[in-house]
Amino acid sequence: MKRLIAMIAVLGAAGFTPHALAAGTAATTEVSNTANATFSVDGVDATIPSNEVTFRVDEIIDVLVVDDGVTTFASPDDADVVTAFTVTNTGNGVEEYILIVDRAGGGGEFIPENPSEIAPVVDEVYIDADGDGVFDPNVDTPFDPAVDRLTLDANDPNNTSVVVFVLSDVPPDAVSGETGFVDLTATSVTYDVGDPDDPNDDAPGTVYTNAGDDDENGVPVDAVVGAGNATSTDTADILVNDLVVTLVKSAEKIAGVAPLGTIDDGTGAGTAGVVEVPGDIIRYTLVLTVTGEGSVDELFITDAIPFDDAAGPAPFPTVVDYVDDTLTAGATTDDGTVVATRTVTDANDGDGGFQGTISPGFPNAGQPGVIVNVEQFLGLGAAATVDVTNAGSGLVFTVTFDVVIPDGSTP
Amino acid sequence: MSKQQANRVFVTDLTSWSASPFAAGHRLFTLGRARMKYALGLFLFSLSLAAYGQQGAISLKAVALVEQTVTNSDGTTSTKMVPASSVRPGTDVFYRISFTNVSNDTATGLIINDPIPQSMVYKLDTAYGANTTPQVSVDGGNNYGNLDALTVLDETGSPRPAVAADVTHLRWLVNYPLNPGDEGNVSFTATLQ
Repeated sequence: MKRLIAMIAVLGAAGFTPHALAAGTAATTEVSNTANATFSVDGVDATIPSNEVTFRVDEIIDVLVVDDGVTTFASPDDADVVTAFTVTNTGNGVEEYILIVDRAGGGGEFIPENPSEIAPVVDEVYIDADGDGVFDPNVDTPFDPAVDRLTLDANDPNNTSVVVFVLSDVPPDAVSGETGFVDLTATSVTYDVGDPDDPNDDAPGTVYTNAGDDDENGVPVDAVVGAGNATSTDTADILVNDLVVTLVKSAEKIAGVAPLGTIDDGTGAGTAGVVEVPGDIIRYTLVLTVTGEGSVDELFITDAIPFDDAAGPAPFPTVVDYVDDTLTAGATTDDGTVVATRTVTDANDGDGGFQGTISPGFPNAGQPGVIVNVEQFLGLGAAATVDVTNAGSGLVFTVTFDVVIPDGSTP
Repeated sequence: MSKQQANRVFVTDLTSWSASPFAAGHRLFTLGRARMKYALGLFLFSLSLAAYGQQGAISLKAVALVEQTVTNSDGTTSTKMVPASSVRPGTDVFYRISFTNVSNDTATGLIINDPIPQSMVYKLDTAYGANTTPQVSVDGGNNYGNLDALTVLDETGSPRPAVAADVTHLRWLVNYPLNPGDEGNVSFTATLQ
């Protein structure tokens, strides 16, 4: 129980966005009404009130599970492949839910497995504690489906819904192109304590007397099963795809105090004697390589430009300054097409700016940096997929941009 | 004159006023300022007693009912209206206000007023009362009329025709004098949001 309470507190502070409105007036609300009458007797006017009529609002118990709609790509024998679901309290009160994971029921071409690498083994489900929608085992809250209950408050915008991560392993004999499914079911605890022998006890409108939320006097209202049967399931899919995407970054001093050359990245491979001082221009090179079979979409390259935390709020001032119009990209695609290196502009990479603040949803969002939409740059259209089927040598995409070390700066 | 004596005179004044206001006024004037204060207080008190008497002329009783489906002993189901104590969102609640003249005097100009409760929406054309004129208000009870003659401001500040969801108050003008013992009722339905 202590674990559950702690988790609720974290969820409440995380600032989730509700995905659905509560099902009407909040449970336990008292709705009161008093009429009055005005009249005259012997020329004297009078007004009288009626008695007050009051009733309380029942609790609607309901829930909605929706997977994130994104196909999760994985390779054979991958561990801890993350699928994400949003669980929303679509009732009108505070409700606890049981979460159940089912990997075998979806009829996929392979059956994802319960992860065994994270201890304890039951830690296959996590609650997105910081509300960023990105799984982080060091931040997000482990949830043991056998013990824990998820509590959501339909009337608290900060705690109406939550993202739930389910981790699975891909078996080593899965073949590229096969799909496996992961089901997540959330069921209202109130419904679950109904008569297990009654097949109709989840029918919408089923009433559980005095099983709803407590009112301010500690007296429970009735709980009523909502239109969604107080239980909900959705399915996420994992597609086996042996594409390998790598990104290598290097830096070279191209102008300034001699000697020029490659900057040591810590491996000792840099040009001897190269140091960075104010006035130097540094060229960063990012090489993206995609090999294997399959396809990848939503392929972006982002790189944050270092900024000075102590000097002020992000995104400025930066420790180094981007040199205007130096962001270039070039590629050799899987079919041998060579895209000449050219300056990346807003028009040819299709985004709102190649040097500015990194968009939400990307690493280092909010920081100054560069962002390149690879698909757009390759001219494949906004909705196109970079098709690297039978890629052979694969797609090689190179991005460069220059920065200058300003006077007085310590990069 | 002692305080006790003054009080005694005051009681005498009250008796006189009841019998003959003009004489009482004369006596009060002659009795001085302190006694006038006491007399004015009692005058107001007696007025409030009169008003209290008028208020007691009408008995007003409200009930809220919801439909309940019950299973009969033969397995069939039927519905009945039961007092609302615990209501689920989306349910129609039937309000009925009964009035009775419990005095020996005729009451005239009877108007029954009822605000739409918070979290509830008036259901169109359900305000009813035999031999009454139901009216609605969409501005918190300041103005009443037929719904199709009323407007509210939309989000741009322009007037638009009012709809049932805009209704904030109801009232029924009772079109007959209520003689001693007469009774009637008015009703409406609202939906819990």
